[in-house]
Amino acid sequence: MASLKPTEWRQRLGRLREDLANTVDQWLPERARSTEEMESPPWPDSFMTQGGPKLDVEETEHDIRVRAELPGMNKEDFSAEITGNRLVLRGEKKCSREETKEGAYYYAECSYGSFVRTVPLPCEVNTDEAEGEYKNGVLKLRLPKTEEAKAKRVNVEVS
Amino acid sequence: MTENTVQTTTGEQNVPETRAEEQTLRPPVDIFEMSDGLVVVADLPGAPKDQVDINVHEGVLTIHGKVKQETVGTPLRNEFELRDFYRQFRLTDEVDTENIRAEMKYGVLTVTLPKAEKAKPKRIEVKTSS
Repeated sequence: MASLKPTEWRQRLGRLREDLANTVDQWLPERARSTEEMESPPWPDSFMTQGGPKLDVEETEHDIRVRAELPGMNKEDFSAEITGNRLVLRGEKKCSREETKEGAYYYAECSYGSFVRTVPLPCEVNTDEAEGEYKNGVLKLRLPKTEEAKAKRVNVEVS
Repeated sequence: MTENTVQTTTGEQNVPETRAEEQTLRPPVDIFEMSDGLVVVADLPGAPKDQVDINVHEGVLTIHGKVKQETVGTPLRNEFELRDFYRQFRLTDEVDTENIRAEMKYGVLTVTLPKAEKAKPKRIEVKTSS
């Protein structure tokens, strides 16, 4: 009966999703991957059952700010990395209850399992100066734009 | 323990009995039964510990987490809904409301609802006369 527990199949689904994403990545030529349209997951509606943690991305003059909802994770349970113009968040949300293996569920709405989310960034960022903060289950990243990216911004005066 | 849908300010049964002005977000919960009580686990990402209010009033457990709104730049992607978390559950009298404990860690709230003495299984000694 263990395989029927929602947490189990969610975890499996998370792993399957990551495998699929990796496979698709191998097939796609580098060129296609770097386009802005490319973002994972291509299938909507699934964190763990809903497409990974929810993300907010904001752009200011000097940096890109990213916020991700990662409730219930230790700092060691997730990672954020930047490859080219993509930010990759991956991690695993563990179910605290699994340690006890006791009791019956009345509600099982929280999502658990592993996830990976890839977000295209609008410009080059200076990875050396990127900062992160994890507080109250929310990860905040500040990714400063490179000087080149700032310079590319052209103000066009319209008369 | 049943969800108190009448008083929840979200969802289809949108009867804002609390007269809360703003819309709230219904946090996902896990509820399971342990030998000594019920455990409610709710994801409240972004709600600091001191902004989470849990109370039991007339047999209704209310979870209210406040989230601060902040926007610094031009939004490129917006999936968060920065609204307060709010959800209510009706408790049965099997819950020992005096001894409810709550803990907040990494944006996850864990509420432990111990069973009242009368709800615990009682062992009845059967005496046999031989």
